[in-house]
Amino acid sequence: MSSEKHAEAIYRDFEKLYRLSGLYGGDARQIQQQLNFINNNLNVHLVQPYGRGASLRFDLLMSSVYFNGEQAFRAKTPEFTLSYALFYEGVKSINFLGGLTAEELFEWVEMIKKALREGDGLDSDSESDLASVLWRKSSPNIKVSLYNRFSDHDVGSETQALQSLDIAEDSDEFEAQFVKEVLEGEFGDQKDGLDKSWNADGTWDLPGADLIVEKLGALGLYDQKAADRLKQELSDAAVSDRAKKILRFIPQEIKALRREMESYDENQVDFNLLVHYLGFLEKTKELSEAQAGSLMSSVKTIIQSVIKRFHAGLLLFTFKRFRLWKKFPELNKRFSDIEQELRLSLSTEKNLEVLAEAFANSSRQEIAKELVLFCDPKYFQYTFNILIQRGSSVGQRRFLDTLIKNGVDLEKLLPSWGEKEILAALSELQELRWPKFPVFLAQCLQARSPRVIEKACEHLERVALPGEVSLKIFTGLRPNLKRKWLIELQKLSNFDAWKDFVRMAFDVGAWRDSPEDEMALWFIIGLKILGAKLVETLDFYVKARKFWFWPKYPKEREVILSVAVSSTDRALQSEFRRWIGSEKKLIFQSAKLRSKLKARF
Amino acid sequence: MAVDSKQLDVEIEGGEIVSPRIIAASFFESLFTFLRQTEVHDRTNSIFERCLDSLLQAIQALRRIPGFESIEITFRGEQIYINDVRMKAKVRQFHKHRFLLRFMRNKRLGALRFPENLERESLLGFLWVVAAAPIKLEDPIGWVNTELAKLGIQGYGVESLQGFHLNDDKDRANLADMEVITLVIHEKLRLFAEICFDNLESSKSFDLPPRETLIKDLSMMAEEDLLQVFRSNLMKRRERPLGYLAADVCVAGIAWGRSLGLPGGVIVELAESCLSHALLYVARKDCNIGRISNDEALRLFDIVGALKEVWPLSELQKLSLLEFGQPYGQSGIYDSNGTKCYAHFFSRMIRILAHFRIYTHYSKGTDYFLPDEAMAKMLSLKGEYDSTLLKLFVNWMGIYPVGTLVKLRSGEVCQVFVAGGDPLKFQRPIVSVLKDSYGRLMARPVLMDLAEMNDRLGVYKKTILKSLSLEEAAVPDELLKSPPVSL
Repeated sequence: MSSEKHAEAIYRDFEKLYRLSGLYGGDARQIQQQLNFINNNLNVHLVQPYGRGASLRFDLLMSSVYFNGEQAFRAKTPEFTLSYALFYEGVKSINFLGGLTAEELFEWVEMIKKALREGDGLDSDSESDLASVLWRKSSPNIKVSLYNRFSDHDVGSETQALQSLDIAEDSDEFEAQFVKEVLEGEFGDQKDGLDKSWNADGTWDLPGADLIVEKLGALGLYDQKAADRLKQELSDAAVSDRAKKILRFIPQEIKALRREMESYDENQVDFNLLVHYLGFLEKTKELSEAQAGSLMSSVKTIIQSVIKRFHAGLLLFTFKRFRLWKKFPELNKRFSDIEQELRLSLSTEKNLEVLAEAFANSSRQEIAKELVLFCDPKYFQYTFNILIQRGSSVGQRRFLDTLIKNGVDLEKLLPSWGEKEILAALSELQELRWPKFPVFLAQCLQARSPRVIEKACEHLERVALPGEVSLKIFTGLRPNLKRKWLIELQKLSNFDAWKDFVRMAFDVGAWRDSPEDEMALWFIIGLKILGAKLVETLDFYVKARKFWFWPKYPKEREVILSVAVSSTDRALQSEFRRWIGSEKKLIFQSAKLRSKLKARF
Repeated sequence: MAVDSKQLDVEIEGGEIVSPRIIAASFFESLFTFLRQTEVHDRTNSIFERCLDSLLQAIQALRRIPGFESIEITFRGEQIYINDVRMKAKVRQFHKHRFLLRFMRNKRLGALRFPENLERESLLGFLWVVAAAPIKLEDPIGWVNTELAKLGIQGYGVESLQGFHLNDDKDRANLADMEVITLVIHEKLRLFAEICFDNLESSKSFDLPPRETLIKDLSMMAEEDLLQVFRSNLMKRRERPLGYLAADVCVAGIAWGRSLGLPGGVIVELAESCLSHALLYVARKDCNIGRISNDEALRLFDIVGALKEVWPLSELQKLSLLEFGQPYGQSGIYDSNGTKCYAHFFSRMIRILAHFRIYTHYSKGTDYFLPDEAMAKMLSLKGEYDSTLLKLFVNWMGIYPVGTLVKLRSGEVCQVFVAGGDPLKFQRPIVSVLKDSYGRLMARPVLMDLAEMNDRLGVYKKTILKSLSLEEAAVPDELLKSPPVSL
C-alpha cells in the first residue's frame, strides 16, 4: 500500500471520530469498539509502515486535506468536516506521531468540539477561539501548526490556486499540481510524507538554545556588514528609501519566526524556567526559607508537567543536575521529594514502555541510554521484555550494552529474570562479548528451564568451567539436552577448554549407557580431543569377543566402527585401517556393518 | 492485518452543525470565490460552475440554521452582517472580508438579499448582475433592478450603500464610543497594576478591577483604538509612571500581536505578560531596562509570590519576566548559569515594546526620545533586540507613529495621520498638514500622502525632515483636534 493510501486511511478515521463523538455525546465507552478498531488501523497504517518515531503531517486546505502533496481527504460537504472547521479557525497543518492512539485522538476531537460549541450561534461576542486552545494544548502525539501573519503561501485558500491557472477541463489536476508545488516550496524538509522538521526523533532533545536556533534556521542570519551599514544609515531615519532597505526582510527570518509562532513550545518554556530556577537555587548564597520554598514549588510544578508528558531529555537534564548536588547536603535535602517523584516516573508501565522503545530508535537511544540508569534495576526486566515484545534485537542489544558499560551487576540481576528474557539476553550478550558471559552461561546451563539450557548449549565455546563441574552438570541433564550438548560440542573448532570434560567423561564411562546416536557423538568428540589414546581405550570394545566369534560389546563395537569408517581424521587413519582390516572379516556381525567395512577399504 | 475503515460505518458527508459560524464562513468563502473570479475570468469559463455548486451547497447548509431560510448580507463600514448578525472574520478570512467590502463599496451596494426558494440559474444571473454593476453609479439599485427584470429574475434584492450613510452618525458615535471604551479599560488596567505595585500582598483587600476580563475586552478592541491610546501616553509626564508603563505596553502588545495574526487567546497571554513586565521595575525600584541580576530575580519572585492571589502568573509569563531583560545577542541565545537558552518570542517582543516605551517615557531628570528617535536608536543598537521582530515593529508602528508631529523638508508642520500598519512592509505615512511651508497655521488640517511621487523626476513630492515635540510644533489644541480634510 502506498504511503498516500496509509495517510488517507489515518485521516478518514480522524474525521469519523469527529462524527462519532457527536453521535455519542463524548462518552468513550459507547464507542469502545470503534476505538479498538481505530487503534488497529493506526497500527496497520501508521506504526507498521513508519514506526513509532515517525511524524506525519497533514496540510489543511479549505475543502481538502493534503499529505505529501497528494490529496488525502476531500468531502462533498466540507463545511461539516473537522478539516474545514480547523482550517477556518486558522490551523495550517496537523502532525501525528507514531505513538498516537485512538483514545488520544478522541480526547482531542472532544476538546475541539467543545471549543467550537462554546461559540454557539452566530453571535460573535460569544465566539470561541479554537486556535488559541490548540496553540496551548499539548498532546503527546498530536501537534498543530497555526496560520499567522507570515504564512504567505496560504495554500489553504484554494482560490489562489484557481486564480493562477488556466482553467481547463481537468482543473482538479492543475489545482493539485499547483498545491503540490507550493507545499514543496513551503515545506521543503518533508520527504515521503514524513515531516523532518518536527519528528518524534527530535522531541526528546533538550530544547537548549543551539538546537532551537538550528531548527528555526536562524543561525547565521546575523550579518555583521549589514549591521554596520545600518548604523551609518540610521543617522537619518527620515530618508525613507534608505529606511526601506534597513527594514527589508529576507524570507528565512520570516520563516523562522513564523514557525516559532505557530505553536506553543512547552518544552522550551519548561527548560528555560528550570535552568533559571535551578541556577538560583545553586548560586544564591542567601536564600530565605520562603524564597527557597517558593522556588522549589515552582520547580516541582514544572517537573510534574514534564513527567506527565514524559519528556526524557528534560528528565535527564534534571536528574543530572541533581546528581551534581549530592555533595551539597542542603541542596540535596531540598530536592529529595522531587527526586523521588522523578524516580517514580521511571517506574510506571507506560513510561517504561516509551523508554524501552527508545532503545530501538536511532535518535532517541542516546537519551534513553542515559536515562535508564536512573531507573530502579528491578524494572530492567520489564523494560527488556518490552523490547522483546517489539521484536527489536537492536534495541535489546543496546539496552544490555548500556547496562554492561555502566557497571550494572547483570550477573546478579539476570538469574532473576524470566525464561523469555534470559533466552533473548543469551544471544545478545554473546554478541556483546560480555566478560562475565561464561559465568552467566554456567548459570544458564544449570537453569530450571530446559529451553534456557538448550539455548546455553549453543554457546559452549564460551563456557569456562572445570571439567568435573561440566561433567556433573551434564550428568544431571535430560537425555535430549545431553544430546543437544554433545551436538553443539561437536561443532566447536577449539576444544581446549573441553579436554578435561571429555577425558573425565570417558574415564567414568559417561558414554556407556547412551543411545547409539549419542554414543557416536561421544566417540566423534572423544577422537577429536583424545585422539590415539581413545583409540587404545576403544580397541578393547572393538576386539572383545564372547565364545571366540561373537562381539562382546556389539552395540559399542558397531558405533565405534561406524564412526571410524566415517572419520576423515588423517592422524588416526592407520589405526582405523587396522580395525577395519581385522574386523571386516568377522562373520557374526550385522550385514550393514560388514558392507560398510568392506566398502571403506 | 489491514482492516477496512469503512467497516466503522460512519458517514462523513453531511452531519450535525457543530458551529453555525463555520457554516456561515463557508458561505462567505464561496461568495468571495465567485465574485473574485468575475474579476479575472470570462463568464463562459467553467470555473463558475464549480463556484456556483459550492455556493449553493453553502446556502443549503446555512438554511439548516433556524432563521436563515432567506439570507440577507449587509455591508456596513468595515463590518459584514448576515441576517443582522455581525460576522467577525478570523485571521485567515481577513483578506476575503476586505475584498467583499471593497467590492460592494465600489459598486455602492450595501446589502444583498437572497430569497427562500432560489434556483441555480436565477442565483447565477443575480450574481453576474451584481458583478457587472458599474462602479460608483448614482443609482445602483435602479440599475440592478432593471437588469434583473430583463432577465426575469425575481425575489433577489440589493440595497445601496446609502443605507450605511443614513446610519453614519450612529456608527460614528459607536466608533467614538469604542475609543472611549478602550481608554476606560486602559485606565482600569493601569489602576489595577498601580494598586498591586504599591500594596503587593495587601492588594487583595482592595476592590481591584477584574484584570482578566479587562484584558480580554481590550483584545477585542480595534487596532487603531489601541494604538491611539498607546500613542497618546507617549512622552507624557506622569508622577506615578509604573502603572502607565504596564498598561501601555499591554495595549501595544495586543495591537502588535493582532497585526502578526496571533490567535486571540495567545494575544491575551501576551498581553498578560506585557502587563506584568513592570513587576521587574518594582523589584528594581527603578525603570532600568538592563539585564536582571540574581538578587533582583529573587526580589521579583518574592513580589510574584506576594501577588499570587490577585495576580497569578502563568509559567510563560514568569519566563518572560526573567528573559525580557536579556539582550538578544547574535542569535537570541543567552547564558543562564552555564546553560544556553533561547529566549521565547514573547520575551523578545516585550523587550522591544518595553524599551520603546521607556525611551519615549518622560521622566524627571532623564532624557527621553521622540518615537522616531527611539526607533532609530533601537535599530542602531547591535545585539540588543531580535532584528526581525524589531523590523516588524517599526514597519507596523511606522518610523513616525500615528500622532507624531513632524516637519517636512519643504517647511510644513504636520501630524502623522496614518502610518505603518503592515508589519512586513515599510510604508510612507499620510500626514495631516497643520502649518503651511511658510509656517502659517491652516484653517483646517489637510491630508497629504507622502507616498505621492513626482512622476517626471521620479522622486517623492514631500519628505519628512524631522520629528517635533509639542512645544516645537507650537500648534493650538483646537487645530490638533480638528478632523482633517480628506485627500
